Amino acid sequence: MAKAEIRNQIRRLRFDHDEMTQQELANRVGCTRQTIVLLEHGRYVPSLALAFRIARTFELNVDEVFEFVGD
Amino acid sequence: MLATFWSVPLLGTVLVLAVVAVVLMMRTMSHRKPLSSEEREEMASSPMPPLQKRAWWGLLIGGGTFALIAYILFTRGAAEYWENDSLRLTVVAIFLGGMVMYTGVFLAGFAKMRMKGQLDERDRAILARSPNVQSAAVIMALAAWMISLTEMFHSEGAVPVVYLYLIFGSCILVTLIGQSLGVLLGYWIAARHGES
Repeated sequence: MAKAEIRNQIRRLRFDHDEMTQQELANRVGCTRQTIVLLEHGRYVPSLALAFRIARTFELNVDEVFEFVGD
Repeated sequence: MLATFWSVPLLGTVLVLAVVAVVLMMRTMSHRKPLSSEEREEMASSPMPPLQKRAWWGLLIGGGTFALIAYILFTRGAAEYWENDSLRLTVVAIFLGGMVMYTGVFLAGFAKMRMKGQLDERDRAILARSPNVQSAAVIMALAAWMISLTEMFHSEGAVPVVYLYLIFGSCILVTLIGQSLGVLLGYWIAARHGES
């Protein structure tokens, strides 16, 4: 099975939201800054709950933040 | 004499197997592309997660307790430990002290982090994988005991009772050390290869 990839717009969205820091976002969604770093670089696939919390923080839908690239 | 001759290569084999197991595990877990230097720098500049800090403390306490007891037993001998009440009580006190400290720092701290919401899903995943290292460490410890005791007491045909206590105590300590090591290994791999 081909490996799917999940891309996201977190870094851009942070800057669009008054240059929100990684730590601020981490505090808002209830995770560590390391998790945000890995997420931004596409090195970690979040759970649905975390994906929803991140999208909600930016007042967007999940598919506006995360994009599924694959089959 | 023959037993002593064979115990060194056999223990060496166990050690080599342990190293091979760790290397294989890391290779399996690190099949992902390594993080770029920029990504690594960003990870390094992020504060250490509370669970990772606790794991370092756990390793320090578990490792310190293990080293101290091993030092006493190697210098005084298992026979003296068994016959000398004050020495036995000292070792038991160190063992229990280490256990209490570990429980306070790592396990109770873990419960506190959970209540305060300081554990995120990645921390939980790392913690959930740590028993892999724990079980491997216990198996290696038991293998080391089995080989060394067989070599030491092969001619007598029986192992003194004192070793039952020492095997049990060492397995408990190795379990604690393995838990901390498993958590630290999880963060170490994530800092180099990310997680998916």
